[in-house]
Amino acid sequence: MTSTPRPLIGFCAWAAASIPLFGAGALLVGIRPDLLSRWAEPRFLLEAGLVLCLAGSAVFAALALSVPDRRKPWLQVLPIAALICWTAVAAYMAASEVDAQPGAGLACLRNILALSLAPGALIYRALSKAAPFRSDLIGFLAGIGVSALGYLATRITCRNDDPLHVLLFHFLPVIAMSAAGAAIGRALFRRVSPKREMTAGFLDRGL
Amino acid sequence: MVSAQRGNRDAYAKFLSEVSVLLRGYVGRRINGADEVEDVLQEVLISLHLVRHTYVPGRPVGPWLYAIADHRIADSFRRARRMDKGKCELSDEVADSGGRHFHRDPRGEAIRHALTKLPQVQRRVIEMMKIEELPVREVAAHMGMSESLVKVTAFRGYETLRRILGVTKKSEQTT
Repeated sequence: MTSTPRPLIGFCAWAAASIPLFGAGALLVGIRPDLLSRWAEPRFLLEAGLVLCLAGSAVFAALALSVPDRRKPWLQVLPIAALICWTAVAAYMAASEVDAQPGAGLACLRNILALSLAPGALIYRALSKAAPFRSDLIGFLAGIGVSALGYLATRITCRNDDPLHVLLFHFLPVIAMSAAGAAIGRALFRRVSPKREMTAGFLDRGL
Repeated sequence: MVSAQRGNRDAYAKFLSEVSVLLRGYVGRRINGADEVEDVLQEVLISLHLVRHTYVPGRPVGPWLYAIADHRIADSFRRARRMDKGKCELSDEVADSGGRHFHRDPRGEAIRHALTKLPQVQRRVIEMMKIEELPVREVAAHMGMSESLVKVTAFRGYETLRRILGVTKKSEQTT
């Protein structure tokens, strides 16, 4: 029997497999022509930095929390803090733009979901082989990590930088996918965190 | 534990029997009721078996072991809270069904009829708790069951009654 890889090794392995997948997906969709000029903008850099921090900390936290003796309080705090900062930035940018127009966004929804599928499958598979006792929390963290990277990949393909568009069709899907991630975690990780049937054992003894 | 991971069954059996002693005390200090302690202990041991591959050789086994136990104890507390919340309003109706309006109230008649369809033990527990209004302690003594088993039996009885009567819980009702 081989042991579960240490969280850092697992994270590096997942990143090594997933980043090329995100990159290939973004190339397939089409990189925005003004990407180089956007990278020079502090606001864009701040957003990208926050999202990378969120994605990395969330996925690492999910992997670490799925090993019983690797629980550390900061593991849960860091991704939540990153999420709060990012939410504040996204909301501020949307609110400060007077003439914000969301425009069409279904393609962005589709792209974030499609770009996240394969890396999401990889991370959930890795987690299901560990000990994800906190199935909903670990599923949520994995979901937010993967969808945040999907968000970033979509930002380098979508030319619409209108803050309201970004909020509605980029940011909110990440939140929705994170909630879905918690539900996926509850379903997938049942092996380790089964809802004990109240009949098992109890009534057999009493009836 | 390292030997157990390599497939040494004797070492694994010895490991489990030794940790059972430790874990029984650990769980017993955090959970009331001998029956519940045994149930949680079994869950810890099962979980330990399921996730034994997550132990990294060379690291202390104690934190790994107690982390698993902590998760299972937390699950036990969550279950207990769900059970308390899940006592539906039907249990109050069952209590009322034994009261003076019983024979004139069609609802009480329906509940009494539904009670007859329960398994004998569930019916008896609910009758003692809700109609005779006996405390759980006395019901347990009368039935020869632990208090936690009485609560579980009553909970299951309420679920069955709800199903028979087609009643939905408040939490399941849509607004």
